[in-house]
Amino acid sequence: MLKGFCDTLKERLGLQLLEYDIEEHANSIKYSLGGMSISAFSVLVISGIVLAQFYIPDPERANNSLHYLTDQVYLGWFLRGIHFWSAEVMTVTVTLHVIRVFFTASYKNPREVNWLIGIGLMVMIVTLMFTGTVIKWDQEAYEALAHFTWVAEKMGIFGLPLTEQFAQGVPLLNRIYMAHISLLPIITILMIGLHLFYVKYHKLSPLPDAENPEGGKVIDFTNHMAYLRRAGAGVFALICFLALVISPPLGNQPVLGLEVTKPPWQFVWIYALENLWVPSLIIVPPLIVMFFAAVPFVDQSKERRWRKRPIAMAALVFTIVMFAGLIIWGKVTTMTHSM
Amino acid sequence: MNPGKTVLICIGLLLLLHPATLLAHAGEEHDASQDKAMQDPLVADSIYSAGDEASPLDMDDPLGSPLSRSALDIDDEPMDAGMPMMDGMDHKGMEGMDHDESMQTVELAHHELVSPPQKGYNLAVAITLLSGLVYGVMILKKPGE
Repeated sequence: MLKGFCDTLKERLGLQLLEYDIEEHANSIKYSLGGMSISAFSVLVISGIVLAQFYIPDPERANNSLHYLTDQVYLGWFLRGIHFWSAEVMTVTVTLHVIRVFFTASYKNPREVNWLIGIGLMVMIVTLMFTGTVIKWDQEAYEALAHFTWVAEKMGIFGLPLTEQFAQGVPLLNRIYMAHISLLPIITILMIGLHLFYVKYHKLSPLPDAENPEGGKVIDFTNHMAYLRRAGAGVFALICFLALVISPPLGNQPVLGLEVTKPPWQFVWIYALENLWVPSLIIVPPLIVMFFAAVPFVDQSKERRWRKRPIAMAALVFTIVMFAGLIIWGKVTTMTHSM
Repeated sequence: MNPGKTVLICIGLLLLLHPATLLAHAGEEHDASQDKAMQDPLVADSIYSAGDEASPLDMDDPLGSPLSRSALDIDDEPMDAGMPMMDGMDHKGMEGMDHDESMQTVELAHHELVSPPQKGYNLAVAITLLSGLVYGVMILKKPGE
């Protein structure tokens, strides 16, 4: 009887469409990093919805409302920790996912478009992290916003929609909060859907060393979903553990005009570059996006084995070392300029 | 475990537990006395100051914080007004903030260890244990795989 009910439900919901073959290597950590990122993102969305019930997007009250949440609301500190650590975990899984895709040359023909969508998703994630940093409205947040508005103003007419002048009388914090909880998540979710659609359409990229890319062992996709559920449970357990042990930083209301903090580690590399040359703030981010976007169009060879791609591997190592070096440098260096 | 998986796990741990994740954040430590000095006008105007429940800013805690957290690092020296000023910064949209410019003292905020007195700490422990337990069972049983 139960089986009959499940079969009927499956038929009515069209779940039999999920019963298609995919390659067996899908059930591995390195080919499930995207799925883990989606798990972390899901936790972010759910915890963010609850957090939003306690947040007041007003420059006078925003910071106090967060202190109230963490100090007075039952489990409020844990909820905020889960939101924060979900973002941290997602940063790591997304970074590893991008490294894996590059390492296995999964961006190559016919998956160029999905690589570009992935780059777009990275930009969205960085933007979500930035806006999330700003809306807690402490000293770090204020300084992040100060840098942002400086860049927006330098961009002239193109930066106008991102400045206070665009909607005078409306605090920028309100608009950034709106972007953080609605505009950016909606765009991100749509892009994730598109990303998954093209994974399905072009199929999971074969193993680089596979002798016959089309003839490997296959498993049912529902089996892969079960694997991803398990991975997602692990991600959630890790997030809970981190939230339980380490609370995210939260300062008090900012002191306007001061520049004394450093950004979160995801952004501290650009702090190092800014120290070298202030216009880096404007020039470097789009250059990096263009560099990543150009990858599948510059590297058009059919070769997918990493040993046969010395230039690509050198570029990968250089990029990782450069970012790691800049993050460490940004951490230890002291500010040598003021805006 | 194959080398690729090992490398991925190592990079993951490195990124997640990099010192910068613990030290790069900054801002102010939540200090009750400073809160009072800087934010009394705000508290008086806040919905959180209404009612019988004490404001978090008014709680009298010998450790200086209603959370009684212990610091993970020592990078919390006050940064004073001698620090660089953002002279070119436009404060539009931030005028509503009633700050006393003579009290420009900032203490760096940082990650802190969570301590048991937090509200709902036991439930948080239970949720974490349960999530770990579910994951453990899924590893052993591998349902659906």
